Amino acid sequence: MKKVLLFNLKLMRKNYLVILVTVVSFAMVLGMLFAVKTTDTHPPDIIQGTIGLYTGFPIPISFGGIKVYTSTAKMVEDIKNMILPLGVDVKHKVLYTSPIYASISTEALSYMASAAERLLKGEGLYPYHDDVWWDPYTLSVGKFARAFLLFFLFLMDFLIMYLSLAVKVRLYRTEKLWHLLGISKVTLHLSFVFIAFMSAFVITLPVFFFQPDVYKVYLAIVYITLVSAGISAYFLRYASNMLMAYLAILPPVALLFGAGTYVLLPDKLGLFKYVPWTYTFIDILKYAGAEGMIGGITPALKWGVLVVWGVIAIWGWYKGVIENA
Amino acid sequence: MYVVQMEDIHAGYGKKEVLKGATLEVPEGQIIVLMGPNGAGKTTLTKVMLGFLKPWSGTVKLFEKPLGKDVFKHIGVVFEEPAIYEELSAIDNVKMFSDSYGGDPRWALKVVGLPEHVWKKPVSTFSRGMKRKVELARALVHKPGLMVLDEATNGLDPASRNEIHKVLLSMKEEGTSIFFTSHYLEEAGKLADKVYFLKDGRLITGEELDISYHELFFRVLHRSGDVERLPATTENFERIMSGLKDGEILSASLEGASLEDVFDVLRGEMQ
Repeated sequence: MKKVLLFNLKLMRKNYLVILVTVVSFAMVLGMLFAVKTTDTHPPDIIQGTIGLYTGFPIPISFGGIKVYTSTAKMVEDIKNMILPLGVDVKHKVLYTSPIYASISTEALSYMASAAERLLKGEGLYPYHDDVWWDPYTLSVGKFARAFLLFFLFLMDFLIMYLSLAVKVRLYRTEKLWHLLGISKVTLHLSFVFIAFMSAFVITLPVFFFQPDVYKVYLAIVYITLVSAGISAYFLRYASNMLMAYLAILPPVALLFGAGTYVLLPDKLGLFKYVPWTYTFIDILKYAGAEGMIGGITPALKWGVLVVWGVIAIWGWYKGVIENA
Repeated sequence: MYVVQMEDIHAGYGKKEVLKGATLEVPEGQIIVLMGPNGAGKTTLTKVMLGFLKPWSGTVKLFEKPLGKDVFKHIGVVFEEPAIYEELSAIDNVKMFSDSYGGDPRWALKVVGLPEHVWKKPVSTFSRGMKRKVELARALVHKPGLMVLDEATNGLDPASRNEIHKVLLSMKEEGTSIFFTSHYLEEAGKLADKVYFLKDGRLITGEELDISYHELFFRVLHRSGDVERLPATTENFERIMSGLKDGEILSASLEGASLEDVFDVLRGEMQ
């Protein structure tokens, strides 16, 4: 067993696929971590973006106390009805008087209260953004969402790592060699499970310790994108089943879609806020872009990143799909 | 001593019986060649010999012991389909075995004649013949007592085949027993101490070919360029072997009979 493990670890070192999987998984964990941490103010877009990134579907979710408004008017009405009558001690009263919002975090309540005050003063709902439909009624992602993401990341990394090892062995018909070395199929696959488990564990573990800041979100998302597009291309070359193909196809599709939508439907036109299925990636891009960085990133850089993003995704598709068709 | 003893092996897949009482012995230090047309069951027999396929009945012993890790470490195998990690270098692929069973990868790669400057390159960049050499090096790195090669020269050019033949003959000189499956008669002529033919799930020797001469055929390429199909009789077998030795025949392979072949033979018998 020790020899099998050592050899497989060595194989992983030489196997660029596995290296890329490890790197991308790590980047994803970091990215998601930063996203989750920074969602105290904007959870829905980031969380949905995260789920969309992995599943390919921007899911309008409503779990764990997250509520998404697609209508500004409705949201304003709710804020008025819920907060304004309660006066100064809004946080605690809402918490105790409204069972519907019992899971609302104090941060979210505080935000809602301040938003309501701004409304009363006629200052608009949100300090730096008028498109309030997507952000203010956000509730703390909290432990549930973090646990969900952790589990999801763990599972993803575990599966990808296990499958990449198992597929390689099958692809190169090397079960026969292991048999001659006296290693049964069961032992061989147990070693893959062990490696995949340890890899997923090590990659997911740092999530508990990081204290991210908002600027890192940008880097993390770019990193995820670049690497995931590359890995997708590699995956597709060896995709031996639908699951692998599915895992491989998602990131470039999702990212191309997001980037393309952002380019085609610029914020200035205000179009995308009426198209609910576009907001997932747009908001990630937006949040990662100049607005999220409070003007820290120049528009040229933002466009540059988008172009690189698209080129890599197209390259992934070309290598993976067209060249191997 | 016999390094391989297979007795009355019945084996197959699902309900299909491929081996119907095959019996085979490989004496120590000899090269035994198993011939048969495609689909005759050569690979099935090899799988049973190596423990990849459990026989329905019959016994298999290698080095007079039942199959197990103790036995495997004295065997080197080259499979018909390449079994090789393409991302790894040639030397790393060979080390996979030497790490477990001992031996010097550099020596093995030298023996098979793989140029030194490619030893550290990924196998994915190699030609088919070079990959075969890596597999051969991996099979012999731990100096096994028995080498098993399942159609290892299939699809290789004549020069690569000759190089592999040379390696096998030099291994035989050092006392290694070799079991080799093929459908090229010239390989049998060049290498074999004894030739077996696989016919209808049973093993027969060259002397027993007449039993089933209308079901197996030799395809012969003469020096003149003529191609001839001959029924696989003992007489034809010996004639081909002699022709291969004196160079009158360039190559010969074993094939299953087509319906036309059977018809021709039966018609000949009736006349």
